[in-house]
Amino acid sequence: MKQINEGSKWGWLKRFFKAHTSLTVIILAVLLLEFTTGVIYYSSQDIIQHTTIQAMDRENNALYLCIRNKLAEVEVVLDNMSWIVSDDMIHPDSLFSATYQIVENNPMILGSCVACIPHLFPEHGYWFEPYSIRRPDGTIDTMQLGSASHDYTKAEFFAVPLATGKSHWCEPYLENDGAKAFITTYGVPVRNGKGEIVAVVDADLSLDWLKDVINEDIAYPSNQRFLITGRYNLLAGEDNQVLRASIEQLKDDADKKGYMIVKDENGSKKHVFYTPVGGKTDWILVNVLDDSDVFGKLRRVRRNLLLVLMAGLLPIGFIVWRSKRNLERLSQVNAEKERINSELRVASQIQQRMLPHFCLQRDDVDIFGSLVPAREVGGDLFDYFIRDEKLFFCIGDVSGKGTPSAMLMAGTRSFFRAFSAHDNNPAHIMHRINEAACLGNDTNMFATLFIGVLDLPSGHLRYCDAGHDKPVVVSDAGLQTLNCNPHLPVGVFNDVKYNVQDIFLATGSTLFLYTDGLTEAMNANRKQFGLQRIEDVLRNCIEGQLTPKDILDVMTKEVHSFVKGAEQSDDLTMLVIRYTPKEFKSIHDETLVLKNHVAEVSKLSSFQKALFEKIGIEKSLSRQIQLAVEEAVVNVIDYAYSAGVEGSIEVRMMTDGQYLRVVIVDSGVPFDPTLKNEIDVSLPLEERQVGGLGIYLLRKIMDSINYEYIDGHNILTLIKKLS
Amino acid sequence: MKTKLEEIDGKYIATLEGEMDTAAAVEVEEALKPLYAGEGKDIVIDCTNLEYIASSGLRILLCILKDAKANGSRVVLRNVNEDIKTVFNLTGFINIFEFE
Repeated sequence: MKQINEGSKWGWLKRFFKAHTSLTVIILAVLLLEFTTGVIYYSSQDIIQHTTIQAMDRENNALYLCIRNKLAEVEVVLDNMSWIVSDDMIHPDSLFSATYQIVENNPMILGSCVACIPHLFPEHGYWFEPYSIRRPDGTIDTMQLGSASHDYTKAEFFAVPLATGKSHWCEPYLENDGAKAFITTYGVPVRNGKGEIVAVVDADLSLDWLKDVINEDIAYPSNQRFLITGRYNLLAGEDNQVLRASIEQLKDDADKKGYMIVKDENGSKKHVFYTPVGGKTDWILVNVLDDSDVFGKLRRVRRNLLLVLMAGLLPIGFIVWRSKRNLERLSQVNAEKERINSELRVASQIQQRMLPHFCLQRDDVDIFGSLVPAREVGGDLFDYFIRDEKLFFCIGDVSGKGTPSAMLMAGTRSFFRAFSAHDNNPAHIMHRINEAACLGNDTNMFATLFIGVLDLPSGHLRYCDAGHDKPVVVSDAGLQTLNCNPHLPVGVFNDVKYNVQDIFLATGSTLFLYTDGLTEAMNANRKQFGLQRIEDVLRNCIEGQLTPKDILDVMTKEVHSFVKGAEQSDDLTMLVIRYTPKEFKSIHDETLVLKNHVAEVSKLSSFQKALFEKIGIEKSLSRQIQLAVEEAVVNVIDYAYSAGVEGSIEVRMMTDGQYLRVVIVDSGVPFDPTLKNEIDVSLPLEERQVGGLGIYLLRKIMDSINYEYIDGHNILTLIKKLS
Repeated sequence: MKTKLEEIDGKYIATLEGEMDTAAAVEVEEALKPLYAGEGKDIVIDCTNLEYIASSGLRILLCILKDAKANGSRVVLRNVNEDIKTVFNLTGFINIFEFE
């Protein structure tokens, strides 16, 4: 239950990852790319912001210095003038020209006055304020402005410098009497010889002039600049919500210098830089920039980057989609490959099982074979089996390697078994195999094949070689290559004539068969193992009296150490046969010669009865053997000699105590009773044939029957174990 | 080898005594010729003293049986000894003949 709950949430994700590993990797790579780009974008935004602010800062510095300078011009004039005026205090009338000069010589000064303390000059009364003003048309009027209606003693431009004894810039105000405009006034106290303040010399500056000053060299179109007094009264610039909001915030700033972000009435972001103008003023310069001015370029960069990003997603998406398809195909191919590999593994096992692995458990022959395919399945083959005291063996090499060759190998082996069931002649067997191999063979595949039939009682080896490497025979006489007629391999032409050859193997002979995978085994220097090396190894093995299995092991080791790890290029196949017939040490050995008449059978009966009694075989077994021998002999009588021909039949019976051996020899027509098809004794009466019972009984009663035709004689050997 | 053929109660009684090897089989065949005539009479072959039979003898029995079957009559083998039973086993005759 627990598992089900867990599965629902992350299980889906996990399954997706597992099923689409490569796809997931691609998606993660894309996400990483986008993420990196995003990081770059945001950090560059940061940098640009930083840089812009620094630039603004510097601009502000330059600007306020500029303003400072401009104001300083006025301050200097008045500071100087306060000295001059101080001298002129003795001549009050000269104060008028002083103000005139101030105005005339300084175009930015709108008006100027010398505001005297009350009753400074008694002749002029309470108020005395010489004053000059520049009219719009450029002319300068000079007058005495002080009066009851124009009580300057209360005005800031007089009162504050008088009170503080310091020069002072006034808050902006509307001057109705003289300038009739919004102005600000700079006042400097005038002292007499005793150092007492006796007047204040003032200069009026038009706010318009201030506005021009601060708007000099405006770079960005939406740049708004303001000049406010220390008491937050507007000197220059248009009062708007942004300014008010900025003032609100910079009230908290002690040094009145900094940067903040303010939103206007539409919610747009404004970047506000402010700095004190300094000097004799307490004014603050406020520089407001639109967000788009600051980050306009960055916005464009961002927008372009975003476009590129989006555009980039399209090909990436396409690649991912195509990759997905390719990955699906790839995993399909992999699954297919896995399936083929596992099938090949099974095929390899099947092939290995096709090879005989059993021990023959005989004392007259020892045989051992091994096949190591180059790939999972191979095209080499070998096979052996014993029928009627004859060893049938073959070794072959199908052209090519791998699965196609393996299939032909399986077929060839089946043919070998099928066609040697009723034929003892290697050339006949080869012929029929060739016919079968050529049938329907349109792939031009062929097989070299060597077939041998060794008659174990006599050592008579008949063989036929179809293009295969000649076997090596090692005996006391030495080592030699078997003399083989060079026939075409099977599967090439279906009318090839195969001829049988024969030799007699001496006792203790060893037959070594191999495929070219052995002779052509290559080491890293591209040198081949070669026949010479094979023969040398064999000589050593024979000297050491090794068994066929040992010989194979030694040869395999030699090849491996020669090849030294280089890749196996061909199937490696070997078959070793050692012929060790044991002498039959007979205790009893008697022979009877008969004529080829049925009547002679009674002689045979008495002969057997007497012998069996002598040997001491019990009655039932005796009867059986008697029957088998009679059938064999009657067969010879019936078929060996042509009608009317007189022939003799020799029946020899031997026993070594363990086995009874009966050898029936005649010199008639070659006839092999072992090749007859076995009759079916399970058939119902209607289908039972009358013929074939004799040989059937012969096979069933005796342990083995063996036939050879040697020197014009049919030799039939029957063997029965006497328990 | 002795062969006797009698007709008793409408049945043929054949008696085989001794060893029926291939040579003897020739005479036996001759002696049992009436059994091949297709008369449709049941046949009893007494094998009490039959000690040995070869394939030619088996052939004779088989032919007799085939012929009888074709004519609807029975063939019974009486007192077949062990050795011969073995041979009948080997050749499958044990399944096609009647024994008593």
